[in-house]
Amino acid sequence: MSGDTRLQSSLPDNEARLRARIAELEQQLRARDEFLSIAAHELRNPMHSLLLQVSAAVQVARQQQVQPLVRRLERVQQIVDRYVKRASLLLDVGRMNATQMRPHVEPVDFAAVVREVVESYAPEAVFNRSSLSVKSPPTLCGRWDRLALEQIVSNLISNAIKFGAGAPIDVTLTAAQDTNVQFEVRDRGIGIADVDQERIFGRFERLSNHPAGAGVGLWLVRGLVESHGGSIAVHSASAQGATFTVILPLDADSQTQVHHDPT
Amino acid sequence: MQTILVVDDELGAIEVVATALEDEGYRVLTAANGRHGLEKLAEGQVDLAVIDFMMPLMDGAALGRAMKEDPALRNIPIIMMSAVGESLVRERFSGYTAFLRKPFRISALIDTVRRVLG
Repeated sequence: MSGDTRLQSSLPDNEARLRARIAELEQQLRARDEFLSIAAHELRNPMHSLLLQVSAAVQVARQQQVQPLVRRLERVQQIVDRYVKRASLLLDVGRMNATQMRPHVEPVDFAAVVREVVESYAPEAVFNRSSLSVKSPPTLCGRWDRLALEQIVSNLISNAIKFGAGAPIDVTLTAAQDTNVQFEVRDRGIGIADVDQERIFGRFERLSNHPAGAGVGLWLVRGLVESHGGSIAVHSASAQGATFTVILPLDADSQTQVHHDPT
Repeated sequence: MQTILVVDDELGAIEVVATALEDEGYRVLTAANGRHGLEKLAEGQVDLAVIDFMMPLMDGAALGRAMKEDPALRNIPIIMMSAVGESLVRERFSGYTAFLRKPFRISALIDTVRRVLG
């Protein structure tokens, strides 16, 4: 039997083994995602009572007019809020893998979401010697998942602050044609090398030169954007900053129906 | 008055740490990442650096190494803090005097600072 013939006869066996191994790995991946989902829940639940207790303490401090305590407790509230969002992000990662994630679409003012998120990140921007400027219409109403929208805007702004090297950051929201909206975050920081741009939206991927965090943020953002029938792109060159552009349909409901229509 | 540099990208954490150390009578400088930390170190006399391990742009290990390579900074003691375990930190940088695992209580930080500064 020649080498070629031996190779050919062993091919079906190899393929079967490979398929079995893939199935095994997929099963392991599902188990891990389930665990992640449960772990995120367990992390988030105790925060609920903590947040309630802190907000009650804020009220008491206000009633007693103890201003320094009010300020401290309000900071605690903000920090717990952000912790809950991080835990939610991990929960969403688990959900996105375990099932096809469906956005909970409702009427939302995108411009208001952008203003609120930018306002909440203003202290971080100052601390990182940066600044956030917003160009947006006063209102831009459509139908999206509010939490998803907050997550998308927060992730992109947080990344821009972290990797923006202290330079100004431009946040732009515009109505694109009659059916879409465009959200853009531009920083002037370290930028993203070509080799990283290919994989930056992948799961557990981080910048090769500047690894920080778990590497799920942009992967999650892309998942959330695509679950709305939208798209995300990055334009960047190393050391020249990065611009992330998100395009979402004005009504995510109609788009996701089209997106999932098997015909 | 002794000066402590605190480097951490978590604003919520750094505010509390800085206030607590100031209440103890220390002068406190803050920075959001290793690059800013190096700038602050170059500005003047720092007696102790309290550094977070995971940070964007320049992490705690890179900052620690840069300090050890600079004759003017190499004798400044470092307290490294991180939410990841010490063994993982030590693989990347081991030149610190003390390690604090996040989350920690302010009393633990104050005790460690006092011990390191003698």
